[in-house]
Amino acid sequence: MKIYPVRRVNLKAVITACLWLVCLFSCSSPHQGKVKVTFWHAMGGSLGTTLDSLVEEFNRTHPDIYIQSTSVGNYGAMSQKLMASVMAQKPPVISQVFESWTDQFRQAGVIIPLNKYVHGSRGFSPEEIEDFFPAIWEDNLWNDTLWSLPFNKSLPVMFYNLDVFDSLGYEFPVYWEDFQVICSTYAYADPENFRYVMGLPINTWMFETMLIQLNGQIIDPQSNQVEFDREPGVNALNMLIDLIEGNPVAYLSTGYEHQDEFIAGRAIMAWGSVVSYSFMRKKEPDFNIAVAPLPYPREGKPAFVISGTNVAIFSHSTPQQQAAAWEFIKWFNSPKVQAQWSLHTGYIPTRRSSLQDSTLRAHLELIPGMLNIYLNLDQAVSEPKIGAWFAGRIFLSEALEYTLRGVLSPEESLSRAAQKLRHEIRQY
Amino acid sequence: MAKIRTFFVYLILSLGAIAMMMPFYWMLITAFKAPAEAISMPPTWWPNEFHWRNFVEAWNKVPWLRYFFNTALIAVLTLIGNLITSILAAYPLAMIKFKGRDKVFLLFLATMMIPMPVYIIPGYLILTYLGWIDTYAALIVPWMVNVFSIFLLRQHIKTIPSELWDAARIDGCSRFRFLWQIIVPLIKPAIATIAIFSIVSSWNSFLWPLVVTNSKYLRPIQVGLAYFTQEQSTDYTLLAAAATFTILPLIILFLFAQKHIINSFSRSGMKY
Repeated sequence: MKIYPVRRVNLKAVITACLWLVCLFSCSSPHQGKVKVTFWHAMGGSLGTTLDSLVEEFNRTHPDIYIQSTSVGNYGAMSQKLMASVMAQKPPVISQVFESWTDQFRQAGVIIPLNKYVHGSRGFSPEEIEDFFPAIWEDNLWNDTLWSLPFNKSLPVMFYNLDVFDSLGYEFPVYWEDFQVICSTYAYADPENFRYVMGLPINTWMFETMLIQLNGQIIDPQSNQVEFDREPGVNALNMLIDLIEGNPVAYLSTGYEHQDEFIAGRAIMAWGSVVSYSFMRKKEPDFNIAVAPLPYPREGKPAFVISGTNVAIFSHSTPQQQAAAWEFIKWFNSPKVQAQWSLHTGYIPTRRSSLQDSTLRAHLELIPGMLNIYLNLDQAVSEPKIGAWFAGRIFLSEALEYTLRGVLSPEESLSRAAQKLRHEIRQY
Repeated sequence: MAKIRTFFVYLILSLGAIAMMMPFYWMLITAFKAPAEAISMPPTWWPNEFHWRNFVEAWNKVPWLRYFFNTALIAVLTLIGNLITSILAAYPLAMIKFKGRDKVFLLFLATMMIPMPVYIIPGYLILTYLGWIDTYAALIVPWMVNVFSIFLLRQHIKTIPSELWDAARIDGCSRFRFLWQIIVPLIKPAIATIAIFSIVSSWNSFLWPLVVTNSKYLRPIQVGLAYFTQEQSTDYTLLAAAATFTILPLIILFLFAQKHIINSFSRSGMKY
């Protein structure tokens, strides 16, 4: 057996060099003399770039405050990081939070109520509070206490190929029944060349919107009773099943495949968030995209379920940091900044008066149907705010998957998900 | 007859090779396509037009040099630590008889079953206690011990006859000298395999750096790649371009070390 000699390595030199490099790249210049506010968010890509530029603008115009913006990549990582940092008693000063997280954090006493700020000398006037869209403002209220301020909010909408609709003489329907007729007419116009109208992702957001449109509720906000397994929920799920079974007009899709199919011209409609528009445009479709609210049944009502996050202030910070954090989130919710935020990201503004911004308005007018969506934001409703809803959304998503893939009936799957959520609520 | 057999063997291996190469080929051609072409159906197997601009755009959107440096630093230091701890742990588990040895080994193996989300929060708490959050130490030190590496090395060391130690002992060799000058050279292929796995693991690290660091200057390349996948969309062409240049160092490394890796697999009889 051959024995190999081992060359001597100057280990000391290697370690010294590594430590030197580590030190060199670890040293950073702190913003001396300023109140530092750490801000964790999940905005990546172009959304993160826009946010960073707004943060820079705030830092430039507020010389006593330094907002340190940290992207945590995505909401999954954010949830883990926030939970761990709270347990370690080292959370950031402010962070993006879903309503269900806010509920958990406020009960744990790790975020501060904002009433003293909102009604204080540096707060909002009653007119300014009125200027917020009601659903967006109420997302942050528990009884009469404000625990956060809105951050990034979006709505579910339907995108459609305006050129195809115009050439066929279709108008995007207001009612679900007319929507079904258009889908069938298009899909089965030529019996030998069947065409799907759209991909259908398994997504709780669309179901929630349809449920509200059918006068149902996800969870009763007063009693915390789970309601989505009642008749409106079953009907909403049956409406989705009708799209993919019998004489199908849609197919089940995953991820953002349905939007890619739409952009590639293989589908004439795509369901999505209002924010998706700018991303779809970047993929350079060779047709005009128009936007419309989700059609609702004749016996129902128009409705949007608003989604997104807010910003909360953590109690581990100093009073100076909390005051500085309030300045930032208040500034972020000013009509001018909201107009910029909406213009560059597609998120909806939190304030009505942002829609008076000429640049934003001109931008919205260029997108067929978009201004109409923004002008109807008063129809928006919130998702449930209880902490258990974070898990509840997962249970509901599983239920939709079971039914749309033909494993369980709508009644069975919704009932199972509701049972699990009731158990989760009891655990709270 | 033998020729026909050889033909079929080569045919099957070629098909396997093509199947393995396909994702890389797809990544490369997507990197050159226009956004609309990347999602066209039927897919195009050769770009209609070469968009070199994708590489420039992908490069300019993220501080790649910093991310490459971070990833390389993390990969090298993690590897050094990993090799030291694995060799020192595997040797006694394979060659020194002591009470409870197999139980200790089983305990080590049991830790491989714990999924990452379970230990993220305890890990974060420990790092906070040590004051290592948002430092390179948080990215490197926890990964300097790897049970899979210990397992792999132990299996290799077990194949070395114990008579070698008897002979060395007669010549007055110490345990440490025996390990360093006789065992380590004999398990070089396994060390090369561990090196590859360790570097690939550091290269692919994503969730942990996001959780334990705040400064963007400490982030590795996977976080850079995530820039192109955001809340409502994925930028396929730029992501493919970025993936192409971030994967290159790994491919080069594999080309250099492939002989050792294949040796290691054939000696240990392991399949991955």
